[in-house]
Amino acid sequence: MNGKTRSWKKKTSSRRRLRRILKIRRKKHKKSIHMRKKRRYFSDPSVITRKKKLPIVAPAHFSIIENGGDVLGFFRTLTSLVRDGANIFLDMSAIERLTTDSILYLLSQMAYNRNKHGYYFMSGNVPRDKVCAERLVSSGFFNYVRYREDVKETYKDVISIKKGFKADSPLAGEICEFTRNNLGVVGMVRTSGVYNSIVECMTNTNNHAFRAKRPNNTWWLYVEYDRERRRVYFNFLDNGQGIPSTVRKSKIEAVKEKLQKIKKSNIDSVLLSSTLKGDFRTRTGEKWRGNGIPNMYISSCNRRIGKLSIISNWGSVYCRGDEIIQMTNEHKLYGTLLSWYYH
Amino acid sequence: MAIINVAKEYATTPGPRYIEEGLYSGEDFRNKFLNPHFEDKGKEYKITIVLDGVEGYPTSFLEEAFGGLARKYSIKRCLDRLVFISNEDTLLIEEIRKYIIESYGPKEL
Repeated sequence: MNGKTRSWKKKTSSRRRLRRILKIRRKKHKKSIHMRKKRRYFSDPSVITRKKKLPIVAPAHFSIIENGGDVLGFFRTLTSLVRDGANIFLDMSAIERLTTDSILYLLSQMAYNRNKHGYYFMSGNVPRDKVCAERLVSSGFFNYVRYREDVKETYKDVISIKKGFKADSPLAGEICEFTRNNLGVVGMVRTSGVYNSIVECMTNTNNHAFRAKRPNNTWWLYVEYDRERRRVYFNFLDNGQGIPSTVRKSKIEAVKEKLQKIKKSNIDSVLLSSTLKGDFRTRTGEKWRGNGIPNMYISSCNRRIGKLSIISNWGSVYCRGDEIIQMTNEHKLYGTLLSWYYH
Repeated sequence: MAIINVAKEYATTPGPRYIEEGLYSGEDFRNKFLNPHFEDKGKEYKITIVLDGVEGYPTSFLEEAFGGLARKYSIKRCLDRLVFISNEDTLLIEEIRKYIIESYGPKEL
């Protein structure tokens, strides 16, 4: 009982011990009542909406891949406001450049915060820049949040944001058909690299990203065709533990990873790079597994897919052919973001 | 002799590794189409698998379907009995044979 030894039990009388036990129980009981009241308080929407709106301004260059430092810092601030029960107003009016990886991460963080911190209230506006506003609408963002107008338009050049829990191979097939139709490619084998990458990403979310399988292991996916460059861009995100946290590590690597909370190091980008190259990193320990992400790297080397980028926790890797560029993030990305294109 | 056409008899979108992970998994394919031909030890006829006509084969699907088969029924039996046809992607056959050989299954039973 609270580390007390046998000698303590012998010295103190039974009455005194009983008083101590009851005191501890009363304290725990008060704490649980307090937490229950707090949860009930924040679960009542009128409580939060009565508070003054607290604006948080999105960075003008709203792209995790191109401006990770500012954007991830913004998301960190957003999460802390949610945790404090603020009535948040997300001001996106100043955005001048918007990429879909940030939209995906925004949606996934909103869902994640909802699950972790309970009910919260957030309102916002759209970018003043017309190109960015149209991109936000066409991405399918408003299929997941309430908007004052009904968004009925469908856009031919995108497959709007999809989310899921399990590997959805029929959806991956539809995406490959979309890719072939837009690029004028004939033959399913030409897009097999894309197909395999998408299915492997979905499987990894279900399999590895979440250590204890919970109903909210979710992946998010967005596909866009760029007419000018004749490329199809893919963005895939999951809000799990992140690849560096879930891969197999040596003892020294595990210690370095834990120490990142105190002092940042490049261990996460090293782990990502090692996973890409096919080093034995599968968490399962089964020697015949762990080929999913290395095969994406092989597709990048064979130019089947282009500009493969993986951002996870504190590390980022960018593949240009067979070259891997490692970087350390200024702020942590919770989960794994994969981005690539096909041409 | 048996012929299995993956696209026509199973799916044009092969999926993940295990049944619990999603539709058209390697485990499901192996249970429905491959295991019945291997269960009886006396049967030694060839099994031809036509791989054409699908969107792609995720590595985990192939490894679980064929590597898993080798782990259960031995590498030698699988290599002796399975014949693959892949006109669209000739490298696929080598890839599957690699998964069988490196499956960590017994060499012979």
